[in-house]
Amino acid sequence: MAEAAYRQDKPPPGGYPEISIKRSLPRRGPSGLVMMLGGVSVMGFGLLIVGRHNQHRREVRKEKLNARLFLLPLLQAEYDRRVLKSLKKADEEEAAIMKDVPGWVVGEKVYHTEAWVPPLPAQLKDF
Amino acid sequence: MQDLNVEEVNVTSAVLVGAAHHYGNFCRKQNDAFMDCRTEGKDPRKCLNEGKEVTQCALEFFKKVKGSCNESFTEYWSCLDYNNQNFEECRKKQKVFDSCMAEKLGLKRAS
Repeated sequence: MAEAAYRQDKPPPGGYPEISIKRSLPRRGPSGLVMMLGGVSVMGFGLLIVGRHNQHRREVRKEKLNARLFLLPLLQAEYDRRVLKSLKKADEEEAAIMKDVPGWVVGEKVYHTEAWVPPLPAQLKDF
Repeated sequence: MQDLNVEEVNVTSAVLVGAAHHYGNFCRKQNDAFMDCRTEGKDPRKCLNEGKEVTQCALEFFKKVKGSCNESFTEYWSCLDYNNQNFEECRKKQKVFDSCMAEKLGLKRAS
């Protein structure tokens, strides 16, 4: 065999480094307690914000309802007058239509009570 | 039956909502009287006079507001009208209106 000048894939001088096959599971990062505290504080802060906003929403709602409450008597008085006017008009029409019918009582109540019976929509013709 | 023809308050909903809190303070007595009468007997025929007083007081209130705070009130209720009567959107104009009412008429928002 002649002296051939070829390169061989040999290990580096000094050999390869040690291959460590030891078990390696290092304990790192925050501890359980720290994680709990962190989570609790984030949630607590979030709850504070939500709670404060809920209070604000309640006040906004209260303001809206108060506005409606203060306007209620004005609108109710107007509505009452409107209803009574409409019923009066219906009575007048009834009197005009049934004037030739003997024994017809105009606006005769159908209930045996003196209390106010809220009118049916059909009674409010000219509302 | 008494005369049901009364001079009515001729305003739209945004105007009423805008003035509601001050109106509630101004016409407290008449409103309470009317509501007491109404809830007691539940008969509208018996509460016509109180109802007329309520409307009368409301007319008086709006005349006063239009007399002193017309511009700021118009701005405020126009803003409410534009924003679906949402109070939160019109806080700035509300402040102006409130200060005008407190200054010129000595009226504050109720509760």
